Amino acid sequence: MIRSPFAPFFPSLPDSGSYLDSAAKTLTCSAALEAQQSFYREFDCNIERGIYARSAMASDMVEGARTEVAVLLASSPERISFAPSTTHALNSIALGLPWRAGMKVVTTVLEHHSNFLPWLALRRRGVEVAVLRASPDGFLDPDDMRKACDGAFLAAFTHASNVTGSVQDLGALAAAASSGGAFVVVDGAQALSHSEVDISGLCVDAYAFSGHKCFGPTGTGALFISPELREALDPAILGGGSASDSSPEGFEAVKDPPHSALEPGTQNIAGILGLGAAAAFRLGMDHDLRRRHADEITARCLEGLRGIEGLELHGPSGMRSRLPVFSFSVEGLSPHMLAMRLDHEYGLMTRSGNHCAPTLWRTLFGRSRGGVRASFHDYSCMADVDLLIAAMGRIASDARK
Amino acid sequence: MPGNDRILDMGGGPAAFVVLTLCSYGDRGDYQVLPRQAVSLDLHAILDRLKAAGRRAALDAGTRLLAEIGECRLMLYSEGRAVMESVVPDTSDAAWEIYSCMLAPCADP
Repeated sequence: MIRSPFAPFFPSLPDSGSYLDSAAKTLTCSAALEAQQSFYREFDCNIERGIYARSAMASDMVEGARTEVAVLLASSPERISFAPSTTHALNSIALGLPWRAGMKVVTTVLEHHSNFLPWLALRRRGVEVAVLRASPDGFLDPDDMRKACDGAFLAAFTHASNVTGSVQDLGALAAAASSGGAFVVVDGAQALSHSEVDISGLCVDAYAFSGHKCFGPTGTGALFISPELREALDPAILGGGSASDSSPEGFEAVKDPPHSALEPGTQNIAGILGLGAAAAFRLGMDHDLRRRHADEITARCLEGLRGIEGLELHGPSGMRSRLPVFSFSVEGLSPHMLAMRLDHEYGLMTRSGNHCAPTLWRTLFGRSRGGVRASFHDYSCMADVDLLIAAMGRIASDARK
Repeated sequence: MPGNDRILDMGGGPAAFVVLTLCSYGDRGDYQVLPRQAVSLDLHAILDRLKAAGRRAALDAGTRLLAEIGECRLMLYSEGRAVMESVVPDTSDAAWEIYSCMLAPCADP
């Protein structure tokens, strides 16, 4: 078996079986593991406002991690705040803006619950929430977005779907959404996991992602936020680091650096260092090799899955604008039973159900129970693809009998 | 043993299982049952018992037991691992009751 050229950097890559659940969590790279362990072994202290050298050094390392994340997004460090996850980052925006009855938010049918429920919940406060439709293969239309965003305060949409793997035209959508003045909030959890993302020059006010989908540890993530959106935001979670002064009469919210008020309390320091190390690892990878590897996997998987009678592929049928993320179903076999068979009989670790996106599954594919998702990444190899195709060929054949 | 273990005595001593919640739909629950240690189930015997109780059940390729118990549809491997769908009410206790009755003799599997 020829392993991926990136496999040596992922110590938890299974010796037997195939890990095909990278859209839920990527494997953690060695650099991220070492960074976390190093913090607890060598520093193991709290950061910020510590006078002793160890604390100062740890604080500096966290700022180094911020810089790595900023470079990953082609942003600047002062625009980056750390968060425990994409979910937390997006909720911090939804909870912190000055909503009034009659204001309007636009989101889409493609969203993961993390970028759907926080906006739907605003209906309780009288906010109008419009849900934009998508094409049958999972793409959003910039013209539809422009029309939907007329009079909107904010538009929130995903850069890439965690179900279909479809990658949106971020520049066109963000321009369309912001044309009427709406803030643009983007769920980058899936897209940044695989792709080079450059938000500089785009009409994007917030871009959130999770460390655990970018080779980093769980419980980490980051949020890019524009000065305009940061100004409008009144952080909902307050604590240490949130205020420059306080008294029984009130407090003075900290303004500088801009991320300070968005990182209340003691942060997941080891995790942030792991995230920074993962970002640095990502930046150092051979991007052409990554792209070629992903394209080879995608092409082979698409060809193989499309050739299986009785298998329905849910998402883009072509190579264009897609990630190596494949959702599918087999008539007569429930998603969980299919995923169980793949795991128990073939060692293929997939994810079944609606993938926290029931609206997508129902709206685009008419399936309440969702499907099975196989998601590949840099460490995956062709043998993983071939095993999936062989297994699905046999299972679909069984189901036809 | 962890507090969420389910214990079942199938004649050869107590065996521990865990019941895990899966992504489900509406007010019906989907669950996975996993044995803590390897068990070896006689799927043919379980099939006979289910059929005798009037349940729809079949062996698929001789390695998977497929059955309908009430509204629940399930797939069981001889190693004890099972997927259970449409469990009503949507609780792990209800899933375990169906599973344990299927494996160990009880009045109405």
